[in-house]
Amino acid sequence: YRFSQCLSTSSWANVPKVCVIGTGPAGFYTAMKLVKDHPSVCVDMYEKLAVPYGLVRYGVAPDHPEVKNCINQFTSVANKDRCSFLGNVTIGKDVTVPELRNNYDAVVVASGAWEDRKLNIAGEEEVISARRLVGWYNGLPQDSWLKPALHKTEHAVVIGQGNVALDVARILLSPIDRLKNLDIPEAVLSQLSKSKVRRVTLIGRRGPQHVAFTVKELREMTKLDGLTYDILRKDCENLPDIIKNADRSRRRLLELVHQCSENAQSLDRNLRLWALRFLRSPISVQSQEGTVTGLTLAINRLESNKAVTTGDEEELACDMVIRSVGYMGTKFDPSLPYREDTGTIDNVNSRVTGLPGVYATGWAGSGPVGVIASTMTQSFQCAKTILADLPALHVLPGKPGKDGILPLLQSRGVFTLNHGS
Amino acid sequence: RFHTSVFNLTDKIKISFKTENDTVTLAGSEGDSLLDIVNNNNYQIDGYGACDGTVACSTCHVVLDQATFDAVNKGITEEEKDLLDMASDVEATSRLGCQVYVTPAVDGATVVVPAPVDLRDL
Ligand SMILES: Cc1cc2nc3c(=O)[nH]c(=O)nc-3n(C[C@H](O)[C@H](O)[C@H](O)COP(=O)(O)OP(=O)(O)OC[C@H]3O[C@@H](n4cnc5c(N)ncnc54)[C@H](O)[C@@H]3O)c2cc1C
Ligand code: FES
Repeated sequence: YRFSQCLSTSSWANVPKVCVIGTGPAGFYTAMKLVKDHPSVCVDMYEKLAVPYGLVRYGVAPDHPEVKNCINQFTSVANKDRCSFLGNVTIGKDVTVPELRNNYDAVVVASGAWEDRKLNIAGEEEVISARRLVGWYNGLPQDSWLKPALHKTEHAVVIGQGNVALDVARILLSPIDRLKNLDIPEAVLSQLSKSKVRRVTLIGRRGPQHVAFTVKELREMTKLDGLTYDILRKDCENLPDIIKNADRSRRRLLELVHQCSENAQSLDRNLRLWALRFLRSPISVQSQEGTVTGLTLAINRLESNKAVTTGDEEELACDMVIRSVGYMGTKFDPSLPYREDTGTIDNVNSRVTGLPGVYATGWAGSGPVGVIASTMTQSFQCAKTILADLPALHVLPGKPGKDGILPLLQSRGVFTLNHGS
Repeated sequence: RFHTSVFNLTDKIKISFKTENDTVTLAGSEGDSLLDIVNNNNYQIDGYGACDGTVACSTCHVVLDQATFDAVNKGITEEEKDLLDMASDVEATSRLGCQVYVTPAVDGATVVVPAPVDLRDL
């Protein structure tokens, strides 16, 4: 291995060794900062997939290639002598966290949040997970089997009103010409080209003031060619009062929602259309011989910003139901303290509770919220915390790092993939 | 068109970047963005300019002084404001560094690159 070759055995022991679990933005930004702010620390990055970049590769929508430009910064980290990428290694299965702790001065959990929240309703087995749909159109190998019946779908309903829900709506409603030159697998494009989707309705449990998407993504939806939208004016009547007391970013978002509800009245409803519907919770999905025919919704009202059912129900005819109500952390190693409700790893300022020398950052540590930039900020902070703790963690004789892990992997028949160094 | 390229060879414009740890003065040419100036000088600010200036990330956020803000505050788009909404420590004179193009009028200005704030610390 490159750096062990150029250092004598004794000085190699002096080098602090950190490993990172996961190579999404959290893993890369942590490694970047560690290597930049410390003269000798070496960072090994373990990844369960064959390739790096996590949700930047397999989450961020293919029609947002500019968001993926952060990969350029990541590659320059991966190419540093003091960083290694070890792909195709699933921590918790191929190697355990306690084994990593025995071989490294510090272990950083940056494994993201790869499960999705369920609706827990009757007919759930007919519901498509947005997480899988996103994996499918981004070419994630484990989701390539998904064959959404787009050729039989005119009206798709998405449960959820976050950015992922908007991504899904945008991809499903895009004319094939808009998609065909993007980084989308051939098989997926072929299925998308047979799509009959004309309408996507995004359902929210609460009111328009509670939408979870951000203004940038909403504005994009309002500007797409050949696409129109439907937001009921009566649903948004109270927004001007709410906007008065909102902070800058919330105000600008809600102003746009309100403006959309005003504009929507005069738009051509014959175009492909996305719609927002509020104060509705799914109760059950109806289907016939494996084909979705509709959705039963409970009608809610707000009680101090919480959704409470009114007892009334409503039927919504549709051909596909997609759930997009959040991602969850995966409990991949029993030695880590998980929070039951979110699947995140219990930590205070990245320090994992009860496990000295173990850190959590990104979606694994703080839950599936925020964008790449917020993940970056957290991970820089995490790296600073590690560097502050490192003198106490790194006691001589030093730990072997991957020289201790690679033989274990080999003995277990795990074939690691190396990129960069 | 020829004229523009000749004008680009005018005297260098100096901008000071105040980061969490220090202040550095870098030189650029008229028409460069603040991100160009950082990149062309090979100056490293952690994570700065992650989307390569395509208005898709907000990591190039800078806070200007009022005079500089007024001098460059032409053509701030809704899209730029949308991204600023996602940055931390946004102020009335905040801009995206990749969208601020320097002119001789802002020679000598100091721009603040806010330290990344971990929202969990607040
Ligand atoms: C559909 C979708 C679209 C998004 N679009 C945008 C966008 O347009 N702009 C934006 O700024 N943000 C976007 N985000 C948010 C952004 O993706 C996240 O903020 C960011 O990816 C979180 O980084 P992370 O490193 O914590 O997690 P991830 O990116 O999920 O990385 C975790 C990595 O760990 C690996 N891993 C997991 N378990 C193990 C294990 N046991 N062993 C080894 N490796 C493991 C995973 O394979 C993965 O590579 C989007 C998110 C989603 C879900
Ligand atoms: S560099 Fe990404 S928004 Fe400016």
